[in-house]
Amino acid sequence: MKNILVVDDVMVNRMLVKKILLNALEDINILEAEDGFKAMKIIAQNDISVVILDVMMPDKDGIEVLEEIKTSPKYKNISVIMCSAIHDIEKVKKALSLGAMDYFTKPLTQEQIAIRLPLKVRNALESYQQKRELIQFYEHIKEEMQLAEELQKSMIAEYLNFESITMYGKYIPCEGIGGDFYICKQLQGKVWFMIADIVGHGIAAAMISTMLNVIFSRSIQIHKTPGAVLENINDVLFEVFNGSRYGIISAFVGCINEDTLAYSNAGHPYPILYRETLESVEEISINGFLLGMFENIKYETLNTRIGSGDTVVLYTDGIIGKENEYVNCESVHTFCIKHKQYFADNIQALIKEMIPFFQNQNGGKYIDDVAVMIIKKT
Amino acid sequence: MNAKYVNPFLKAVEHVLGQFGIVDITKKSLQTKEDMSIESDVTAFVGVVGDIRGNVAYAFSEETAKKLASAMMMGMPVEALNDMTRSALAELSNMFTGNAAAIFESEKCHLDITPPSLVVGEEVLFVLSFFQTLTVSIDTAIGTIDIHIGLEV
Repeated sequence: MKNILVVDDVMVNRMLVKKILLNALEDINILEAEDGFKAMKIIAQNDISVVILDVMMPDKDGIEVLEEIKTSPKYKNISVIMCSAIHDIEKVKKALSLGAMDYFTKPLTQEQIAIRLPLKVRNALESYQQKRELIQFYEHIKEEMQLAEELQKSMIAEYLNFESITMYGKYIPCEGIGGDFYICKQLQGKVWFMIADIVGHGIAAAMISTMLNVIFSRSIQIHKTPGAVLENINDVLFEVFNGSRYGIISAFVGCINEDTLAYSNAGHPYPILYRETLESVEEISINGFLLGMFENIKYETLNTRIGSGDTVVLYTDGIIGKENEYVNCESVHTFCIKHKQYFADNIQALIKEMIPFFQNQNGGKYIDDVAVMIIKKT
Repeated sequence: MNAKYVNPFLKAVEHVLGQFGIVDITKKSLQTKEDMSIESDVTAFVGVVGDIRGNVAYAFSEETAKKLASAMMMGMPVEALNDMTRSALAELSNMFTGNAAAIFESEKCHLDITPPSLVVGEEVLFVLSFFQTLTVSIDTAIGTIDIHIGLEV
């Protein structure tokens, strides 16, 4: 049963509209109000789908009631049809600009009684119903997104402490959940880590990041070098997605074994390496094909010495915010040089400053997912 | 009082009645009085303020009133003048005057109208205003309607 509220100070008009609608429409219930105050009271106490609102009423007129309905977050979706005598047509124009859906003029002609008024009200009922369904659907999706977001957050740690390695991380997806991903794991005395950026963002990208988690975790058990791990991931992605754009990913994989850092890169922005003894900030410039585009790609593994206090800064290109520029680490490099003092004892502060710094450079909003992972040898 | 103040009211009554299917309206008589004294079964009246001011009253016999109310209520039978039919007649007088106001407006003469009032009762004489009043009687299929126009012009 859908509730329709008829608001008119003239008793006979309410009776006429009620009679016409009850004759023409099924499954409706008519409520009546003789002024604006009573109308708002009824709206507050009932689930009203449509309001038929007279423009001219004493005390609180139809325009005031309409404004109150349309500015209320709770009631704004109610469909409102205005009615007025023909000489109030200027007020009807105002009502339409305030969000009324339709109007009709009094007195009701035979044509209006038989066709127009029932049709207008039927449309208004449908419109209200559609809006409600849309809101319910949106709420449902939002709930699902929140669940997915929690799941993703549980996969991505912000702090990990192993024997000789500490990992700090921060991940800000631009749509609640997203397609950036980082992981850090200790396995048989070695610490493996990967950062990856999946093309696009949102749910699809998040699903792939979940997959990547599994492939990486399995791959490091089988393969010995970061290059071999990337080759393995590339093969799996190509097999699953057959080179379609959904499976295209940039990634950097590193493995620290005592004082050696082995690493390999698949089209990911160059990480930054801070060397404590030299107080130097350098780029780890090695490149390779993006993952998932071509079959049988070889990824080179390079090694470098890593000492106590040395720190690797990994990030996704969302932090620079320039899409399609996969290797642009100039600004991150400059930033790290400028904030060198944090590397010694305040990595948290470095991350804290890094994200807003790049966010500001991009007009104050995230257009892509943002992820930073910092690996420090203790 | 000039005829130019009378015609919009006549046109409006004709137009509104036409919308309820009451056509074939003829003017029966026109008379001038020094005040608006009315002696009818049912009288609906509306005040007018603005560029012109005064009162307009629509008066009918009880029979005509019932038929008018019935026409207004989509042909529902009207046995007696109850709340609903009184509301119908009041609204009808509002429509008449509102339509007339729209015609005046199109001639650059602005006027606002007050909510309608209704006087019902046999052998009631009442004097609504002391302006010179023009009374136009019109004949319709449902009886005679007297339109009393008392304006300060």
